[in-house]
Amino acid sequence: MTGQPSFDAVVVGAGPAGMAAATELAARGASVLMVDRQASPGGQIYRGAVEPGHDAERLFGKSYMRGPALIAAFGRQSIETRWNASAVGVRDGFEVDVASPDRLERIACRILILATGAYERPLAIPGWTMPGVMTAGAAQLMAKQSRLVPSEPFVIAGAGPLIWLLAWQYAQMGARPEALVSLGDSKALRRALPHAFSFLGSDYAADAVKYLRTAYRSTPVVRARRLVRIEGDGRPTALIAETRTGRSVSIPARRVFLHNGVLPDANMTNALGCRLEWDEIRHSWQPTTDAWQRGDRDGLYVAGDGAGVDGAIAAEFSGRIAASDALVRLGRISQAERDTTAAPWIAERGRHLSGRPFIDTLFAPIEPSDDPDVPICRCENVSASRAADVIDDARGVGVPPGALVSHLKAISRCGMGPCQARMCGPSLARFLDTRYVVSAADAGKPSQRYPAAPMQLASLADLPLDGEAAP
Amino acid sequence: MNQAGFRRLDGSGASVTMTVDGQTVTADTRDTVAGALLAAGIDTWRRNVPSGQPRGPFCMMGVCFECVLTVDGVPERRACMVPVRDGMTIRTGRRDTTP
Repeated sequence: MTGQPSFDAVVVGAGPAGMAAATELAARGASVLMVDRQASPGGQIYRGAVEPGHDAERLFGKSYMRGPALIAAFGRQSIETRWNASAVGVRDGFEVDVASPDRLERIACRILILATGAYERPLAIPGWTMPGVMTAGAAQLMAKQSRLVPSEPFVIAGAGPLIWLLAWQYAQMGARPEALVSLGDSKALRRALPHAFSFLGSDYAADAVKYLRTAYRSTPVVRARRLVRIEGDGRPTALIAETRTGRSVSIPARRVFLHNGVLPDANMTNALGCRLEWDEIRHSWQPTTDAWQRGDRDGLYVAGDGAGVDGAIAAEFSGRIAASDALVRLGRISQAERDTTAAPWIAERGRHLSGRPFIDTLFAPIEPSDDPDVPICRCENVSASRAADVIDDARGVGVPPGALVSHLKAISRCGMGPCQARMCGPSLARFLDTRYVVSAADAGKPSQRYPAAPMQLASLADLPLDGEAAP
Repeated sequence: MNQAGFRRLDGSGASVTMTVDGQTVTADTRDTVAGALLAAGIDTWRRNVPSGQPRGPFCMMGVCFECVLTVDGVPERRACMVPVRDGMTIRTGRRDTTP
């Protein structure tokens, strides 16, 4: 019988935070295992950056070129890797169950760095489950990965900086949307103004002006109050939106790319039972972390956008900061060395945080559709009206606010599918808030179950028998 | 096969050949399986279990699980996370999904 594989540190997620953390740890001699669900490093922000191509900087901007450098530095270290793999379970101590396509391993480590990144908040509107409707991020990823751009009429719609960035990137590629539908209310700018000064001093400001100018020059921009529905014949034919003046517009399109901001993927931290806080401005659950990115378990760090969406550059520095503290815990550097090493990283992280309050306030996510038939939960196909029926009944028999989400899950299966409530969770939080005045903080985050990603049943036999079942 | 919904910007040669439900599909070496199928005009290859509705790739980043299929005999792989490889054998539920 072989012993249990063991590492000083397991890092989950090979985006900027995870790569930077793993690189710093390994550079000081720590044994590191990197687990990522993709086939190569880079995460989503630096997707395709292993071989970026000669046109990458022109198409995706200068900031994308940080990716190849980070990947190269990561590659120079001796770091064990599991690609196309998911950390499907984790328990204190730590023991991490890592599912690769061909096997399941239970791996012990003293340090666990969760750098799981962010994903796009779903925008549930009638028609959004039709093939041909994707997220704006999906469109961007296809371009980064292998230069795929839509060849049919398409529309970009939603709220958040990404729609403007995508419009700019598509303009660089010569792909022109039928329209860019920007959602949001007219008061958002006024609310964000108090944060404008620090934003203008940040690196984001110049880029933002560039993206907006290009988008307005190259694309018809529709300022809209809400998206009414996507019409289709099995595939989209048109997007119907209501403008800020209350006019209904129909934009013919065979592809629709939706976006509603991004939020931390906090499922692993949640599965560990860590404390999560509801951020009212960012409308998302964020794991509790301190200045060293320490989570609320000994040896746990949450770094990068998975701890709160601050962008790729801040993520990279938060990964380095986490690693410097972890190295103290591993006995490889002193606290004084940590402080000296991390000081410039802390300054850089701070500099890249200064623009966020303006962005977060200006691009607040939009309200979910009030159409009763819209599926909130894609996996289990649970509509808003079905969710409302179950919640109405539950409230009628006195189910407290904090138990509504798990009650709904048990009765309707909403949140029980393979995406583990990543899709329905954010919509449900908004739905409970707007319809029942039950804040997300009171309702709580949907719970996770083992395994965190589907795996082959047979691979359970790979696990040691003496341990108890992982959570 | 439908008209492809995506074109390749740099028009680079398709140099990988896969078998998708018995049919030959060519792809670019950089593609994920999901990207390759979309570029080949295949928008949907599975149905939502409770409703029976056809679904297509949605997030392309491994979160939504709308693109799962069987790769070289391993089921439930996220097509958006799997790079194409020459000689790859893909099985989907697509026969049910093409109208």
